[in-house]
Amino acid sequence: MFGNKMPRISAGQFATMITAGYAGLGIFYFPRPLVEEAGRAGLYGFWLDALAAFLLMRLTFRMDRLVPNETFSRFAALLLSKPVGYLLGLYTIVYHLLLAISATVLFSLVLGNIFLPSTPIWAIDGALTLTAAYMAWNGVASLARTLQASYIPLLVLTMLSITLAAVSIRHASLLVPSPDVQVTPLLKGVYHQFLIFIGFQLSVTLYPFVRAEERTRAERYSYFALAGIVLALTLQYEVIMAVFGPVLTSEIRWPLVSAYRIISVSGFYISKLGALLILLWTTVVVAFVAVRLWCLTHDLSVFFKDLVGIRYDVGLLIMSLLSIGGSLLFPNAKVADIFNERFLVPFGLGYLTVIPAIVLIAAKLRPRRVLDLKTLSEKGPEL
Amino acid sequence: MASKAKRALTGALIALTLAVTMTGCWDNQPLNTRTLVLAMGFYPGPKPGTVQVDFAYPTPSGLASSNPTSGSGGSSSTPSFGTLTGIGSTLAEAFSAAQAKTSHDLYLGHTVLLVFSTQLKPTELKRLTDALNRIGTLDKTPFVAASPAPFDKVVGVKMPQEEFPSLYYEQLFSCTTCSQLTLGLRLWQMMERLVTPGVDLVLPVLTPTPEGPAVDRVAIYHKFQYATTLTPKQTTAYGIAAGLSKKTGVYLPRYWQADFNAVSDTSTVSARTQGGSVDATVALKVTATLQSLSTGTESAHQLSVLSKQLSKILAGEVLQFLDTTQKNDTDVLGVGRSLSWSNPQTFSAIPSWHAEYPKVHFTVKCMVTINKMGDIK
Repeated sequence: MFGNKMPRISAGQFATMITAGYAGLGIFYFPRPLVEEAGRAGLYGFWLDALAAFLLMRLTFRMDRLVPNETFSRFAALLLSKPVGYLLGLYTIVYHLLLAISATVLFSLVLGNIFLPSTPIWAIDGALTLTAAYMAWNGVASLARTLQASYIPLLVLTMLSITLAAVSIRHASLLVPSPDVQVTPLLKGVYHQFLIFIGFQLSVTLYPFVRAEERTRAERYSYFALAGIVLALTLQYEVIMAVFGPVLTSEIRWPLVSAYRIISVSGFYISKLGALLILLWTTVVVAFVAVRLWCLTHDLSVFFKDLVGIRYDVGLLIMSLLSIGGSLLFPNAKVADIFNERFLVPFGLGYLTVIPAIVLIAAKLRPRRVLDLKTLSEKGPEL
Repeated sequence: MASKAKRALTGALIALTLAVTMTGCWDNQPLNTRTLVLAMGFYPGPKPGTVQVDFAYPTPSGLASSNPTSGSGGSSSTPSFGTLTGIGSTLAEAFSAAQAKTSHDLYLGHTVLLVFSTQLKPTELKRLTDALNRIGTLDKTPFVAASPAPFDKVVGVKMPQEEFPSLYYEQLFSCTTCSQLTLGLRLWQMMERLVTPGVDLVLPVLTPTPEGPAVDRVAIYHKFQYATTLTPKQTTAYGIAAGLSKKTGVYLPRYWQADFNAVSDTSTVSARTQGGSVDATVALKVTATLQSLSTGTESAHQLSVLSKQLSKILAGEVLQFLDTTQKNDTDVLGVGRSLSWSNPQTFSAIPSWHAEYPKVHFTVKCMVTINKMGDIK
């Protein structure tokens, strides 16, 4: 059991953090991987991705419910033996770190290319990561509140920008996805596009922080938020497709950014309003990195618990610096793209499918152990 | 106490790092060290394989005189805008050459107009558009146009209302009712036409005249190759065929001297294959306002005759225009694109759309709605 001092978050805050944990990565490429492979039938692929995300989220929550008061990094070692636990802990840390790095790289390249051509990329990487670290500085409760406060204006502005971009639709027939579906290219597109849903595995760390009585509601809210994200991205997809057409969409570097950049409101104070609206996506990316850094720091201290006690703020700084350092290794957007496709998608999908499967099977085989873990008392420091 | 000091120290360290990295001042430049390029012109260079790129920018006195709050503004003797020219084999080279001629930072973030010479070779046009697509600071929203006239003539022609020629064109193209046809095309729309198979490029042509610039013709392209410039009459037919007509006027002297204005329309292009050949249908929905009639008030019979005649005339004009495009082998309405969307497998089975387009069989359907004026004595 957690001590009374342990900060707890509400169901809504949990859902916000889980949502912030995935929608950030690959957002600027969206929906290029799908359209490149599946052409005008890409929308079906996106919905397939969404369905897969929903099912995997259910699976992950089911695993979380096994030992609701312990984070995954803790109970994995106790349930599956120490070596396996350590291995999974290491996997979690490395994978979250890579996700944070990838999101930072992508955003700083977009920002550097469009707005700040003379600013060195490391400065943008650094600013973004340190802002995220600052958001996560005071722990999970304040991070969750900050995200809650920033996501609602973001939602309003997103809807506004979709509406503004929709004015440029010239070929309404493109809004209807093509009935001509070819299975292999579609599945390839689905696989590459799944990047946009990767990241909600942070629920394995976050789950115990939700107030016990609100956990079922927290899960339900997360599904609602997923539905909201799917709706928003479907609208984005439709607008991008109907404005640019399938060929240009697969040829432009960052379709979402380009869609914003065609927004031009004549007579408005800022005629190139779209360029301004791109900046609102900073919130999404910073949130993505912030929740990741919090999660990383938590997992890091659990991982080294037996060797050395790491204070939360020190851990956060270490992880931020590692993330900045990792970001500097990416020379350009193409390398980041290849990295995402070759490593982040397969390892992310692996994480989301294999780990819950192993844990749930192990739990079935060792029901007594699970019962013991459920009643294990928490004596560790506040995280 | 010690821990408090440590916390304060860490906080200060973070604040300092944030202050350094979050300033965003790396790219901050005072406006007076920048030259804000408003229009760019792309012309063939003096040597084969080179391009000449012109950058038009407002001068400080021009900026002052355009600002209504600055009182009397700049003196009329100083020009309101200047032009820098760079020559190179690529856009980047030409840009560097132009940048070398000024002590200010040439900034492309405010560009509103791109003018492509009709003399550009296809390879040059391709290289230029590819390069333009890659410039991060250049938005995808500048208007694009073609011109046979030199850049100085295009932007140097006396403008009827505006100080800056490029702003004049931007306003003209942004406003859908400011000209007979809405010919405005933005950079991203040009890109879409250039990369999408089954559709060709159409650019509005800027013609300098002593009274001011005229924008009443379009240049049609075969992929990246300039084909021809249509006459104003053909351009009107293009406008009607593409659904861009806003203020076209039609006079039918043999039918009670009926005079129509505000002929506006929408157009839908559809294509299908039949017996190995492609059939295309251009469906026009036209709205026209009856301005005057010799009999004063219109009768139901007159309206039916006029509607029939008007649709016959418009469909005839459009068919004639489509014939011209087939002779030039430029699919400006995007028949191939429409086929590729409705029937992708059939389209991909056609080895070369450009070989197929001149053989397309066109049907034009025109439905006219006449806005009645009632008693117009």
